[in-house]
Amino acid sequence: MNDASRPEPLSDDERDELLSADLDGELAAAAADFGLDLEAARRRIAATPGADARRRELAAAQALGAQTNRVDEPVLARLRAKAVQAGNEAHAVRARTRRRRVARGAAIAAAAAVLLSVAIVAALVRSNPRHTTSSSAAAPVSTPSSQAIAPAPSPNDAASGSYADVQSLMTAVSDSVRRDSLAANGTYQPTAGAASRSAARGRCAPEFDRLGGTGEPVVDSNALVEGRPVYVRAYVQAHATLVIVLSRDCRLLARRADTH
Amino acid sequence: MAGDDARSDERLAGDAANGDEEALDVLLRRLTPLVHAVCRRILGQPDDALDATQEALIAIARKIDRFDGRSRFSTWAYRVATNAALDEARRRKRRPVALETLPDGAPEPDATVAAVPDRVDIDAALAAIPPEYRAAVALRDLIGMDYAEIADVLGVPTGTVRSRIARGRAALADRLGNRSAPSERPTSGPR
Repeated sequence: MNDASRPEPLSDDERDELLSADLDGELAAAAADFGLDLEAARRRIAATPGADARRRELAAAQALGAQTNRVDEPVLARLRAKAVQAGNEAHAVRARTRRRRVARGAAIAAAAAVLLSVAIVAALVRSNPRHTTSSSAAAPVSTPSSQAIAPAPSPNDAASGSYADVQSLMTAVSDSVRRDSLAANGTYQPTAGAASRSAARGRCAPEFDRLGGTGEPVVDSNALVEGRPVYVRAYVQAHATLVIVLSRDCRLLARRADTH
Repeated sequence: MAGDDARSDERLAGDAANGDEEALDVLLRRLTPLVHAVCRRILGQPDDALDATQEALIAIARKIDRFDGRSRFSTWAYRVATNAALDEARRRKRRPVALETLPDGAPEPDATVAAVPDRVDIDAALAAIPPEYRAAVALRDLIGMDYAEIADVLGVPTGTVRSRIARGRAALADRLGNRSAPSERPTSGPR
């Protein structure tokens, strides 16, 4: 073997680490960490002067390191007894904590059960169809018999909206008056006094009267037509509903009588 | 006697966690010699080793309900022991040391420990390397853990474990006079 093909010897640290790993059956992993495969590591070890002697020294150190110091049993027994006592105390603390946690859990579960029972009883009472309550705080019960259809808007509601033009406003008011009157009586009859008169609209009352409104209006309201505020009144007459729409300065915008 | 109980360590640990005092006693009886050996090897001083052993046994007994069975019970227990010994080593480092006890290569006589051949030499040799290195040597040569287990216990890579074991053995080999020149390997701190 010439010098060029001869493997490079290991440094002392490399030698000790590879030999020590070899004693523990870990040479392959150690060699890999040094960037060597197993055979290359063995060749490098073999090429290192004194490697065999060093292996024996390290093996002796390993054997020596496996020796234990004997200690008097009474000394160890004393240490053990103290540890057992500490373990018992720790177990007692754990048991107490566990019992407390269980008791707290049981209390919470019992409280939850009571609340649930109360809630169930309350729900049963409220869902009983014969049950009536005078308490204003009682929540409304949703039963088929009590599920009223949402009421149609009152004539004043209908007249207080926003409309694209004055004809739409008058049609809405006229229809609403008719519907309101039929709903209230089964047959069409005027419902006097349904509207409240405001001071502003009262200002135009003479003009409403002049334009044919007689008696109490069933609608007396503000509305928006094309974004502008208007006053609207509706009167129920013998054969027709009269709707009059005035501007804010009491000028006539529209007047219509719808027969019924 | 510990040998009279056929239950495995893991079974005993479960029973001890449930308050079985006898199971705890049997378990500690099995563990104590090697727990002490690990502490002694890491600390090198008999009194410190006994203190650390006591701490370790108490910690094992108190925390036994935390053993989750993911490793062998002994691995878990030696982890506790190793930590107790390393904690003791750190405390000792912070304590003032009397001049006459400064390391001169030989530890104090140990009244409680029966002498074994070369014991003093082992302690003196290993005193030259940091406790973390001694821990790796102890877990390997006393307990027989593999490198991966030691790495897990010490929280370092297996390469570091291998290096520490090699340096510990080299220090021992050098100290025992098998080599003429002392090692010049760094001993300032663990890798």
